[in-house]
Amino acid sequence: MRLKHFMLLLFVAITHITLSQCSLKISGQVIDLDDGSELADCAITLLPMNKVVTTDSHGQFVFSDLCSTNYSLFVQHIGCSDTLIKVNLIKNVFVKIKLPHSAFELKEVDVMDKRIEMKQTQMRSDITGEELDKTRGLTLGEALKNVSGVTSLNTGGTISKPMIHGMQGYRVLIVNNGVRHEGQQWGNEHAPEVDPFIATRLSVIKGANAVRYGSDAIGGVVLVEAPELPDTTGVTGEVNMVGASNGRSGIASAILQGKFEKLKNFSWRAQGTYRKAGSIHTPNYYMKNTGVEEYNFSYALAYHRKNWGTEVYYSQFNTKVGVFSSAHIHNLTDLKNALELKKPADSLAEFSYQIGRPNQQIEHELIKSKTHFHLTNKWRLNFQYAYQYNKRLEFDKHKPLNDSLAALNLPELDYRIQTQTADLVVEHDNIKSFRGQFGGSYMHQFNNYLGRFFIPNYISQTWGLFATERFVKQHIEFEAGVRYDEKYLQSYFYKNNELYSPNLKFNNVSWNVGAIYKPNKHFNAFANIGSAWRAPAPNELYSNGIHHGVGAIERGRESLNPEKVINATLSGIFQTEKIQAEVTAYHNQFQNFIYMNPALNPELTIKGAFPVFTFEQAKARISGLDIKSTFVINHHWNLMAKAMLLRAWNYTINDYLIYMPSDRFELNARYQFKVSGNRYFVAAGYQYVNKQWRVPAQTDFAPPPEAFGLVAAEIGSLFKLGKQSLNISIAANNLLNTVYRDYLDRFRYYTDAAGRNIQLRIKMPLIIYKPKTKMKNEK
Amino acid sequence: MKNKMMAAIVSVLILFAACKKDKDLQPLPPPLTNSPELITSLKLLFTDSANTSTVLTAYFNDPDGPGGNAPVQFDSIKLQPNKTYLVNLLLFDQTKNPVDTVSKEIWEERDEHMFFFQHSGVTIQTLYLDVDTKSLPVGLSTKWRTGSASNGTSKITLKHQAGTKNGTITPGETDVEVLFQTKLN
Repeated sequence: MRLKHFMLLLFVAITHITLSQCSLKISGQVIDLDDGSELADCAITLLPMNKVVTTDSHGQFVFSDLCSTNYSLFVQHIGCSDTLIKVNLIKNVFVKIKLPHSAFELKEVDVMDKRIEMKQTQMRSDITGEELDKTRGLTLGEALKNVSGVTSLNTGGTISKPMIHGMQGYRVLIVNNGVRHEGQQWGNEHAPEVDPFIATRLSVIKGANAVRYGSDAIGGVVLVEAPELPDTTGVTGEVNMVGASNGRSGIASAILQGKFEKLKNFSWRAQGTYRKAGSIHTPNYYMKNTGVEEYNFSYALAYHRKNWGTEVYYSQFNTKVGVFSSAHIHNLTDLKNALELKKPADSLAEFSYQIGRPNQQIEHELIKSKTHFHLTNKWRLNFQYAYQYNKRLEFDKHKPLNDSLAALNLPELDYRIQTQTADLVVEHDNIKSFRGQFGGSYMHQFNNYLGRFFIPNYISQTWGLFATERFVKQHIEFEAGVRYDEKYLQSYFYKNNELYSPNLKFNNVSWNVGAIYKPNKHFNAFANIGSAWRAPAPNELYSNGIHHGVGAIERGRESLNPEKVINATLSGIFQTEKIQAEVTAYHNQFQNFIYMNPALNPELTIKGAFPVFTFEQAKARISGLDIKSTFVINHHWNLMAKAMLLRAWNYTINDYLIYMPSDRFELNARYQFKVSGNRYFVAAGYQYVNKQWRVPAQTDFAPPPEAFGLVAAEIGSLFKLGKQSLNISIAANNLLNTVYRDYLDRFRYYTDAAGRNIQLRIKMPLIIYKPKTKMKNEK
Repeated sequence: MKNKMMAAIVSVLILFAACKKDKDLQPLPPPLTNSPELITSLKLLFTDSANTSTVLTAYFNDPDGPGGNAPVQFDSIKLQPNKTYLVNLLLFDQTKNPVDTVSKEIWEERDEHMFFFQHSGVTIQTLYLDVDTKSLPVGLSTKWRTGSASNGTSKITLKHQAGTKNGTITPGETDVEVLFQTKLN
């Protein structure tokens, strides 16, 4: 009987009659084997093409434009064994996949948390299922690089900030579990404080998306989405383990979730991750003090009734990151010396897990409470409140000279930000082909520093109102939205020993219009034009001092105006049986683009002369092209090619914008096969990153590094040990141990990038507890 | 029963989640004197070895430290040619009240620090008069022998060389680097 739970029941229903060779469709629904509930967020991979879709809130999915041949569906859902289904496609089919999710239980809650699907006229790229598994153990910034058009701005091998179309920091919004992530963005060496193991899906929306996510979503939005809480009883889970050779790192992450038998309206989830890594190895040496120690955990509890539900979520992120000690320079002479060295001064011959000075210690805490009401069967109301606390401590390379101060071992930089956000959204499903959302949001933020001054203390308040509507027909869809925001920024700082407390107000309207055109099964076109804006940030307004580790004096400008952008994105998806191609062309036209401009004269200090950078505004543009295509050669082989081209220009100074990604290309080949029911694959890839020669004159400390090419390889398998299914893969990055430096790595001045890294990944879905039907009958 | 217990535990965990709110947070920035250690000023005292009553000084003073306001005083070094001077070097942190004499702390950590004197355009011979516990020079106390009348520069550098001090300027990080105009006449 128990075996049944691990088996799959397949209903094949004929819905249409074949018309032509390659216009077939596999649609389907994933439901719970025992209680028939619809399973959302299942990742379904269509093989051999490796096309991944996730099921919607009704558990439904569709693959279209398929030929009459053999396919397999690879189904993954948290807490379930990964499952493979063969489909010999002759006619259009509807596949009902019954996953052994939990035991028999009479359902008392009928209407669950059904979200109203809100697709957008901007293309959204998801990393989920097998693709997400491949990124396990990477930081958020590194994992997102799988999406074409996304790169990252790195600080050594441990700190990585996601960059969408050359934009990062304040211009990229990260939405963590539905809450806009408010960390500390005022430095390029500040990575997002998010544990990617929480997510079952990472998504990137490229291009301005102000109306829906907040006026400052200029470059795009990153969505980190946790799975929906279970609506069937029992306890399920998943364990992920990653070991990597470079840095000798070990990561373990576990998730447990379930629904109570007695308290049927409650479901819950608990999750935790621990990571430890030591010195990173470049092809020729170890980098001293590049270890990481991190522990994160989260838990969630939801209560559901027929017409409403509420959810509480808490997460904590704690990390201690060593900063490569040779990169902690004190002045320009030190930087010049570092640039002249082929091998950095602090290159170690030995490996160590020890994290000494300089280092960063960061803590991020999030508490979220979310409630929804189904007002009618078409209308729904959501309310969400969240509190975030972010503490960032930075320790310099040396303790203070004064013994009593040194004994305290205080951080030289200590910033704490508290943020409260409240959102109210009303949404409606199809009313005469219209779907829409209206709402408002409020944010209160409080910054407080101890130690060295870099940005002032401030209190900021932002509120916004928005409305967006969609018109959906079979071949065409239209979308239009508008938003109004107001921001107040009250800062406190000393200037010539006097306390200043300027109060600024910014307000603006943002909008977007878009369309989707679906003339036939082979071609979909997306077009979107939208505006976004952001108020200048406190560091851009008021910073005044040496940015340590950068070797420059940064000066804010109090008269900065809000930065505004108009973004146009045009995307096309072309698909046939053998080829799938995705092309996105975009253009961002900036008004008042905020950037750092070198001042003419260096500033004299007791530490020597420092170059001075002031925050300036300019008319600028960023435009480019992202291409991704997959070629299916046969059932075993497929090829994937990606390209990213980007051009950026500052009209005001007639020069390039700094720190923009260079053009890059990627080619991957994959071979897959099955041996006695177990699935195996072998893959290899090559990435070429061109030299960024489009750089502004005389603003950088060193010329951009040369172009480089990296080889990667992976071998993986899904197999069953008795009843337990296991995913195991071994992957190698920088397989040839290539010596290179990346323009988008701030440590390229000091050191080569990391060498070969071999990772072992193990994923184990668990079914821990299932109430048995028998027991229930006995009672 | 078991599940009720679990429900209770989970809800208690969530309701009483240790919310790390800083009680001491306030909108006002911390007092200036609370800021981390800085070196704001460098003073050179030149004592004529033939006539100890004559003490010349050269002062670099940037009371609010690097960044912020420009230095308020930046003297030239003016010495007589063909003489020998005993030179004492003092460092201060003027953001502290009372003013912190950082050079005292440099002496306490002399095994990790060393001053360097690089003259250009002027003939000055610099001899170290002090050593650390490993007999490597420090430079808080030096002897300068001036040559013929000329104009040039003297670069004074303090390197922090924790565990790497070897008597040369190469290792470590720069704590101080001041380029004085030097006149011998």
